[in-house]
Amino acid sequence: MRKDRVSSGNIYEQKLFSNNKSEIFLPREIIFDILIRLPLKSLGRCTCVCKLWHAIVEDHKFVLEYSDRSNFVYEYKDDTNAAGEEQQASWLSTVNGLVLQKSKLTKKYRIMNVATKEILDLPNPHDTVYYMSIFYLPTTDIYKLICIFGNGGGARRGKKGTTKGGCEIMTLGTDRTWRTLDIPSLYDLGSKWAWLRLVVTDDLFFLAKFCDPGFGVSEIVRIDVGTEHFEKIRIPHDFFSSWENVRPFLWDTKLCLANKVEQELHVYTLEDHKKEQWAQRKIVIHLSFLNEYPEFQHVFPYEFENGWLWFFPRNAHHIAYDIDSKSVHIANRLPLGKRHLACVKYTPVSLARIQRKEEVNSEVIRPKENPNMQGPEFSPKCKCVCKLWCAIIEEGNFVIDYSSRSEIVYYEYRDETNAAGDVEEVLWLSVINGLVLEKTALTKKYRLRNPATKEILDLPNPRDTVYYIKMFYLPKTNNYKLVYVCGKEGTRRGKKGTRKGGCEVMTLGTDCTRRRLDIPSLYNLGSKRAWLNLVVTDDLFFITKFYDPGFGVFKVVCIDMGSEQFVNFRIPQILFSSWKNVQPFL
Amino acid sequence: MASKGNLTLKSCNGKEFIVEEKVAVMSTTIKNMVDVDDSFAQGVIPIIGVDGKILAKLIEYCKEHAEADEDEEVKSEEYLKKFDEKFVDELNLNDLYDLLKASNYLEITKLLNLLCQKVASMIKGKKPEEIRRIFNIKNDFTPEEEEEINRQNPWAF
Repeated sequence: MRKDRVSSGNIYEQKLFSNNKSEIFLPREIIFDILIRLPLKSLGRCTCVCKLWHAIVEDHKFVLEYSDRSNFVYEYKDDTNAAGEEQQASWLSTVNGLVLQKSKLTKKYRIMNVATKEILDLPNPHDTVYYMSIFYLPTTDIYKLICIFGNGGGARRGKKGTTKGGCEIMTLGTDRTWRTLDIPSLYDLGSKWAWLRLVVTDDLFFLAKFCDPGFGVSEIVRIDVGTEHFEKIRIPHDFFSSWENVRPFLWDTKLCLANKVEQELHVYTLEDHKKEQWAQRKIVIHLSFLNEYPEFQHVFPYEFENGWLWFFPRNAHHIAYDIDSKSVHIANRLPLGKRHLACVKYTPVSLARIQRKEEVNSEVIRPKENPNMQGPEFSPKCKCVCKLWCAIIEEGNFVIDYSSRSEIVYYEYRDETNAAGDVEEVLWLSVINGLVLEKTALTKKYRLRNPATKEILDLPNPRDTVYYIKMFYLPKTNNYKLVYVCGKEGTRRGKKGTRKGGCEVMTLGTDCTRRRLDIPSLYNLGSKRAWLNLVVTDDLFFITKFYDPGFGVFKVVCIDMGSEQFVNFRIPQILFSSWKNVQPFL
Repeated sequence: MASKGNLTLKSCNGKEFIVEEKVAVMSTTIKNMVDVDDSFAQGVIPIIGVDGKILAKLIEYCKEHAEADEDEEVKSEEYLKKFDEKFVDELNLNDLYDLLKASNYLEITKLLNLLCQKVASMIKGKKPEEIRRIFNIKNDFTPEEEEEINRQNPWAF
């Protein structure tokens, strides 16, 4: 079986042994492999063995893989109503071994790591909280909280509230407090005649608002937690005659609405949320099997997955119903007198670490007024005319049209000297759409500059050794993306490196930091015998890797910047006898 | 020159080992080399950075497992388990490190897992000072930094 993959190191380049054995321990990836096998308590101790171990354990990849490997643990509490110790906090939502709680004593919201019992207190949300959920977004390694509130202290179906409800969101580590997400559909949440129902997935938050006929519009608000975009999905008013027994839940990956009518469940799935298109036909499921379980009479299904309909009653075990074979499966019987809290995987993640994550790295430095500014000067001035003009000017299409109309006004030159004067202050790396990606010689930081407006945007620091950094503009989505090709320790054709290289991408405005693009062919970039060359088009990024004969596999890696898909091509070795002077181009 | 079906592996200190191909390709790295370039299959494969002693150990391990993969009756699972246990117990710390590094870069996954598990079991339940002593790791934290970390992880002690 030939796989298009080079083994992680060129056999000639890896420096396995050091002359001074007592000084060196093991490569990072081996320590990773060892630590991942430890029980949590031992792992906690290992964080203070040395800096390297500490860094490995705190890395979010390690945290994710560690919780991935650990088993599910069921957390219980005593099924009593006594206000004892065990009832101190109510569990609202769990993710990744973390639980969002509300303390019954102080009424404060907090996050607890179930395994380590570490606690992070949260800032107070708006008055009356209806729902609060915690999310983890693995691509950006970010935890977010969403809170749905009503105002004026009326209970959901209780007193009439005249003030508005809404939604607040908070990114842990970045936001110091709650930010409002202005969703008009939620303004009337405090009102009396609406039923609210909640469904969450890994990165979506659905809030369904069911109003009795004549008292409002029944609709679903869908929030994409990553992008914080929200949409309104209307529900055809002829679906159900009464909303009392309607519940939303997940039908495989789709959202569905189910109405319990006597012994039947009528299900409508949402086929396309953008077009607000619901299934033409309802699915009918007979629930007569529930008669055998009197305690489940009033239970609604929680999820439908791969043919199984799941019920998660609060005080009892879970049941799954196979709708094809009509068989019932009972899972996880509860210990006697206990109440189910949550099903979690233990995680070593440190909450203190999440909270102290660097502030959003992109900090825009506003330029001072520059009287010499010629061409683009109109746009900032016109922007203050009114909101509409401002919106037009800031729109992606306008910006592109504007720059394609303007001539290549000026070539920027610099003196060809090697003097370490002002001229050498920055290194220009890549130019696109009138924006320059540069590296300052003094601070070694990467930044974006608009030479016309002199606006500067600092970028987060990339990993150790950067071979190439390129910027792309994707007109379709109006996104700027950065690609870093990096090696670790050791330069390309210089010293021997034992560590692996790789590729990282960052979408400006969406990602606060770089995301790793896992390309196996780039693992051995630090190695000595390879020549790297680069070719870029508007939206493709090619890296070629040439070796001296016998030292590795010749590869071209092609990355599509829009979709972030990558492909490997092999180069027949016999094309050239020496690769020293071979250059790729278009 | 190795006969057909055999490969010659050469350690960094010049020792040559003739092994069956099925044994050598337990290493994904060697397998990829042989797959990509036929000339390796005929000539000598230099295993740079691995000395004769370690290479012999690697081959001993791969041989047992390759044979077990081929014929389950001669070498049962239980036999292999005993072999693995004995294999790791006999290692001193330096050999353990060297084998770990060698199996990592030769990509002998089974052996790498076995060795990592062994080191993990050596770490389990030990205090940080003990771990540093056993593995000869320098404590590069200042006392303040160490105290800060301990303060954050009270659950571990």
